[in-house]
Amino acid sequence: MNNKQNILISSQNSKMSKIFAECLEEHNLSYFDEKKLDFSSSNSLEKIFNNIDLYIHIGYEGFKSKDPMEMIDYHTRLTYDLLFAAGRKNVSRVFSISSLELFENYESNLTITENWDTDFSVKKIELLCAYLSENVCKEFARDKVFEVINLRVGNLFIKDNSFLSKSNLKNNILNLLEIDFEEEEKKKSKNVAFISARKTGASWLNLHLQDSFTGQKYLTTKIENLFNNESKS
Amino acid sequence: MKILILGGTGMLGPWVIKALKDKYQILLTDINEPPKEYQGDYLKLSVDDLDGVVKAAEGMDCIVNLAVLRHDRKLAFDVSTKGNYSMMEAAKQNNIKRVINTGPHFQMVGPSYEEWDHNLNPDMPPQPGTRLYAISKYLGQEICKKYSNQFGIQVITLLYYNMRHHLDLTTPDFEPTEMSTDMTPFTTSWIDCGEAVRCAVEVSKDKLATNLESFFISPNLPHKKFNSEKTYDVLGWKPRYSLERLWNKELVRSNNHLEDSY
Repeated sequence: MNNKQNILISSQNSKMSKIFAECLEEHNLSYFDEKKLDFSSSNSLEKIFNNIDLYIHIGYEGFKSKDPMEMIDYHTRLTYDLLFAAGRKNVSRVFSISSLELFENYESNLTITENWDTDFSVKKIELLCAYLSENVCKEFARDKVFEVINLRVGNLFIKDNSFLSKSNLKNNILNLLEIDFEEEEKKKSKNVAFISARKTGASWLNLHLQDSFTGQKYLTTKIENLFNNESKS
Repeated sequence: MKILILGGTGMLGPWVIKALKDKYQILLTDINEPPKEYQGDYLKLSVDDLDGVVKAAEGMDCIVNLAVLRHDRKLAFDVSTKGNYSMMEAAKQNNIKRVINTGPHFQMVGPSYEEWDHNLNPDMPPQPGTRLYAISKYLGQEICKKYSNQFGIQVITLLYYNMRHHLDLTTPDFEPTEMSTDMTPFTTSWIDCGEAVRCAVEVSKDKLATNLESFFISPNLPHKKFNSEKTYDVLGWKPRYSLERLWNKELVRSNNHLEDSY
């Protein structure tokens, strides 16, 4: 493989982290376990981002704790610390991994896409935390510290109506590694109605991903159009 | 009516107590003891102590959150983000239907708005950016939003900017003011800031368009950077001090009394 990237994945040993590692096995991968990091030292935090091209921040099903305050702390403050360190080390892109379950309260007949506002039960602390983690990542993108792809994934473990197969995840995640925000902006500008003088693309891209099948809950047209492919399992 | 005040011995607390003490039963909480001038009930409590806040909120009708710590990264998130989680859990568990939250203007209108536009209003989607104080408060506000939507809790958020003492226009640290220069986009007297909390406690539910409403606590100012009409209309807040000295030039002798006419 020619274009090997140096990729750092959070929440080492979590099921989610392992799945992403399998998808990206042809790249140079490194990991960290946030429970073993010294967050009081910005130097040691920054060190883990040395020479990293892409950071995959698992914001859902990564860090776990029974204490809701500890959960919120990781998904807000410590996420902020990690992203701050990534920015200092000039990491150019971050994948924020979140969940389609953030839309769980919508009925299945609705055409839920990236345009919809989230609607979930705050009784599920892991969903509240995924939402907060997304928002931390979004503000770093807004401030153009780096590009963020916020990927809300379907169920990777159970075959329900939001099921996402590993092969589909792998195809799309490899495509996402190659996506060029600036090129995407130029493509949009080819339509005369959307022509603009912008020279850079958006720094925030929100995408939903699950398998396509009859009865799938969440629409995935945006990512399919992006790569001109079908998200079939 | 019984009101629980969180973080009440800071800068804004004394003025909120002044505005509320004669009409309401107050339980003041903070990690710091109140000064001897305070005569009411006090409980030592940190806003991120989930169980403690839930317990303190028992029997209360309203929670007012004034807690803020800005200068340390951990404390900022403990107070502004986790603190709001404690507060909203306390409201939910104790069936409290009104919460008054406070914060800085830029938890909503960060640099991506303020440096670009005018007529900014408090109903815009938040854009805090990555400034520590703004983002930690913003995340707390997002927790409020989700709890408000799900449990029907009215959350009234009051957004402040620059606050000054009405006597000498100094900050709480006695930082002096430069008169007659271009001012911080909105500046409000402490007395009026406290009054805004009373207005939020008292505003009728019928006047609130949704369960989650935000307000800029600012006098209407000639530069029109921020629009606080909603605060006047809905909360019925009228600042007694408009602090004109900050944005009017010093009086100079006029040789021509037609200047600025026609």
